Amino acid sequence: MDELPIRSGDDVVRVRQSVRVAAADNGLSLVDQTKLVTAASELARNTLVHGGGGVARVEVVKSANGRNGVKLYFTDEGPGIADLDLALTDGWSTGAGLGLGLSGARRLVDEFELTSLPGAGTSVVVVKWSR
Amino acid sequence: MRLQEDLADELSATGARGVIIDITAVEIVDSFIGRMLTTIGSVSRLFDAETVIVGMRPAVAITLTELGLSLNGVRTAMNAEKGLEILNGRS
Repeated sequence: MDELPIRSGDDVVRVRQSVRVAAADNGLSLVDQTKLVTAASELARNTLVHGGGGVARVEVVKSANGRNGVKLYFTDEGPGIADLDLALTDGWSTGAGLGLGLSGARRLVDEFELTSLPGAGTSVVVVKWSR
Repeated sequence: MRLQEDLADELSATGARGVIIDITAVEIVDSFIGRMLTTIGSVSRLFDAETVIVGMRPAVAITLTELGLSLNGVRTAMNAEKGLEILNGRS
């Protein structure tokens, strides 16, 4: 399992590269690799911009029926998200962004779990399975 | 962004009417890169130039659609040749 710091834009690039390698090595199709890497890019940038930096973890997982998958964790100790439903709404943004980061990333993966408490940081866990 | 400044300088200096951005080598377009592309389109329009993005990989196109990103204000074409056709068709 790789644990990667997210402290700069360069770190976001390294997270993308690491996710790409894990996805390719575990039998995800090119389209699924691209979806997962794109989701990782959105989430890593959220960690950096909204969470004030944090950590990404890349894990290889196997489902009960034997399918390979890649599981990603993004955690920060930033201000957290007050209204999770609102944060997952298309077009809603606190910053200068397009408001597609979280909602868009959720559409690109098979499993998506967002946990956050105001003042206690944010954690996003996603999984993409091979087909 | 360095690219946007260089582009604005170049458009101002040359009076170019079109901008082609080839993203053949780009493996992913997330909302950050998407916003950069639409900003380039907006800047170019201020100089009366149209922007055409060419060479988007199929996997990138599928992902962009699912992400919900529409590249407002820029055209897209299969390749540089088709992009030039679009720009030359402008009166």
